[in-house]
Amino acid sequence: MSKEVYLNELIQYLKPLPPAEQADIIAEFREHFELAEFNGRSKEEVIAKLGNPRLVAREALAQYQIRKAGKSLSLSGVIKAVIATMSLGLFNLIIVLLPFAASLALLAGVFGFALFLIVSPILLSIQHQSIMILTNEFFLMAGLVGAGLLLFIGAVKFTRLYYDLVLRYLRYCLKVIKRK
Amino acid sequence: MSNRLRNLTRLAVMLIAVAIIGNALMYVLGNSPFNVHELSIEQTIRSNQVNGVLIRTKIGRVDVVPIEGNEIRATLEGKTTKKWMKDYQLVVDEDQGLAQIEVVQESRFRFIDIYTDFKLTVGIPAAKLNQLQVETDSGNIHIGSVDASEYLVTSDTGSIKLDIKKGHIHAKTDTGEIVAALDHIDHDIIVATDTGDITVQTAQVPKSLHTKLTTDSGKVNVSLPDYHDGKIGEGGPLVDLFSDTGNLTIKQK
Repeated sequence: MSKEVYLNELIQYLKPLPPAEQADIIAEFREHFELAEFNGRSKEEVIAKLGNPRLVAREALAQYQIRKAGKSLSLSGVIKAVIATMSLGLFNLIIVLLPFAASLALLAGVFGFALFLIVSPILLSIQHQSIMILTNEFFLMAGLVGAGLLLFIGAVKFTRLYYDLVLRYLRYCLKVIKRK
Repeated sequence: MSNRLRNLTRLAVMLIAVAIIGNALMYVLGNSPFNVHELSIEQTIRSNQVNGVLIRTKIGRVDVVPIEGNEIRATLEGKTTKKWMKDYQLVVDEDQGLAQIEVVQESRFRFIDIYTDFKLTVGIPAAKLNQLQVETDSGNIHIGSVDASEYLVTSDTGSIKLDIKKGHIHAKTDTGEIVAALDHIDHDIIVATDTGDITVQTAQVPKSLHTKLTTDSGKVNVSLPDYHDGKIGEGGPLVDLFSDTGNLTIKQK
């Protein structure tokens, strides 16, 4: 494979990235080739060292998604970063998807429970099918709603920390892959 | 956003403080949802014509024990909050030799229940039954030395324990453990659970027996003497144990 074929292939795989990002990466790879030529190394050697253009592009895409998600922490951004990291290989599917899915389900459970407590007065009214509930269980309802609100606020605050932790973990996974 | 969260936090803390003070006062007055009361209901059926017993409950655990006399005695005992005291009925009926005992919860919806803990004890006189059937949702089931030809025991999430002399056993639970302890195995034993362990114990080693032991990730351990290649001797009763993740054990008592 020649240098141009390699770079053209890489450009094709980098298409999901914004043009500026694509240009930066291609420029960086051109530099690698030029430096190698200057040092008297063959193109084959450089290509072997740089790796499959498809995998290189996937890694770049994962790095881009992680960076993007880090700028504006949101669930959709984090999910895109997770998917991009997962696409790097079967190993990542296990070490990324399983912990992420489990922790996300746990977080969703906490939000669900908080919501359950907040709407508990409605549930208690359905349960007892009587307005007398308001006098007998007013204090219980107040406590459940209060606990639900506190849990909800805690979960909202923790969510930002959680997104940050997920992105750190993804960066760590990328580092491990690079070392390999 | 931050101001809104701060105001919500203040509201939440205030609600919790009001709830603690209010519930403490109501508790002292004996009228809070945290005041727990004892419940005890007893019903009897004459056992002369009875050849089968069906026990069914969606709440609490079940204990079936042998008793003296000629009446089947069902007792529902336990504790629950004051408002639920009249919500439970113990219904007993006898029709064509089948005694039915059922714990009925009147209210259809139960989203929040501070405390309810019940046990249904059914005492059965010594006469031999054709069939003893017990069904629970989440409660554990214990069957003592009550004589029946066939035991049908099912629970969704509860554990099952049988301490019997002999008989045909069909037991099934989704997540609970199942223990069947017998004096001797002379009828088929068919037991299944998704995640629990299964143990079959026998005081006397059968002269013949064949087994079908199936588990995905559990261990199988049969320590009966003369047990080889899934059987003892030729023919005999079938012991069919199935668990997805639990261990399967057959041993001598």
